[in-house]
Amino acid sequence: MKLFGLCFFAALTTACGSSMLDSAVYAANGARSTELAAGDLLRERCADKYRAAAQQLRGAELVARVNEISRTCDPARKSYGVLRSARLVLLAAIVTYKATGNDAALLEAVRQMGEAASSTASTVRMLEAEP
Amino acid sequence: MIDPESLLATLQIADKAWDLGGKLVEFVRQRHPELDTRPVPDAGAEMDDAKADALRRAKEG
Repeated sequence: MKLFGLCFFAALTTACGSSMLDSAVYAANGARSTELAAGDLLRERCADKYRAAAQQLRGAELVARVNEISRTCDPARKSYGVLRSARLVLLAAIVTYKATGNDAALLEAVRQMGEAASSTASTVRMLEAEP
Repeated sequence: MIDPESLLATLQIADKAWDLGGKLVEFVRQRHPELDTRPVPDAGAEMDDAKADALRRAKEG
């Protein structure tokens, strides 16, 4: 996940050296990579754990295990959803900017994308720390 | 307490918005190849399904 953080930091700070549009495109493409990697972790650290618990446990024990898994997986799930939506909004803002030249929506979308990526990175880091 | 009809209406709007989002991505893919808009499978939905299945099994005992 450190790589994701660096990727976004680079994307959001290279606006000085290149156009805002180039940076937004770079951020959107980087967000897709983050989404893929975060998705893999959600499958491995959450979906697979729920499946294993469902195979091994029953009744109250299973509910307790589901709640335990959800403690770290639910926040990661929310961040992942926000990241997916933010990337879609950023794509829309890039297209709007290309059509109209209005960068207000683009700047806001890049800012939200950065926040979503940061939130995803921190919640996924919690997943990685789980045994 | 959430009103079920309001919730259903909200979900229907969200579903349409998601559908429109997909069409937008397709539009962007055709006209702006520098943007990587290849679809990413929704791991969140997969996780939701696995969790719901586990809770269903727990209820069944």
